[in-house]
Amino acid sequence: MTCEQNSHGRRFAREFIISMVIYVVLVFGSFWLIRNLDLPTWGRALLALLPSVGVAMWGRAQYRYLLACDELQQKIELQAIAMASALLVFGSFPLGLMASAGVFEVPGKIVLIWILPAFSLLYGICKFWASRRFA
Amino acid sequence: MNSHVRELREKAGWSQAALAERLGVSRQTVNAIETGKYDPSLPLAFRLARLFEQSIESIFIFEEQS
Repeated sequence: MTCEQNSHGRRFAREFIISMVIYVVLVFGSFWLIRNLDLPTWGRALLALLPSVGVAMWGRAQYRYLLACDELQQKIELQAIAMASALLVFGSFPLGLMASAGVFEVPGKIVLIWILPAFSLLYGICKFWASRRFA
Repeated sequence: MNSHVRELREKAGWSQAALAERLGVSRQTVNAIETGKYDPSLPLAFRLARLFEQSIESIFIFEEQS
């Protein structure tokens, strides 16, 4: 995060940390319950979705940060999001083609869970690149 | 787009951070405008013009691209 030491940067850091703590607690808690309780499918689904609360809080914090940024920082953030989205979309498509052709095997649930971390990594790299253009 | 923002700021005796605070933007934005790496939005250009009591055309140097 390249935000300057200002109030909305500190607010984002605070909200991000809280959301990540909630996410980690819910991930471990919900999957422990899923593994140790005999639950119907709808119960497992509800528990599996619980960590999304932390992710949603992170998304909200990110959105509030974006709205509070000044015009240049908004431009940088949006360029980073656009580039990361394009890289993820156009990078995953050929991988999907190869998986479909049997070049390698990847379980679908693994792919789905790694979309957000992959996007976050790409976003960080693209934001670094976008920031340097204006430095 | 190049500009006279740096000269005007230094003439006023302000740091980049001080100018940024007056304009309601980050120091990074002021630096990017001064180095010509970022063209401000129209509202920001008007705020600059009002702050320095000059016209936008006298602050920003428009160069025709050949």
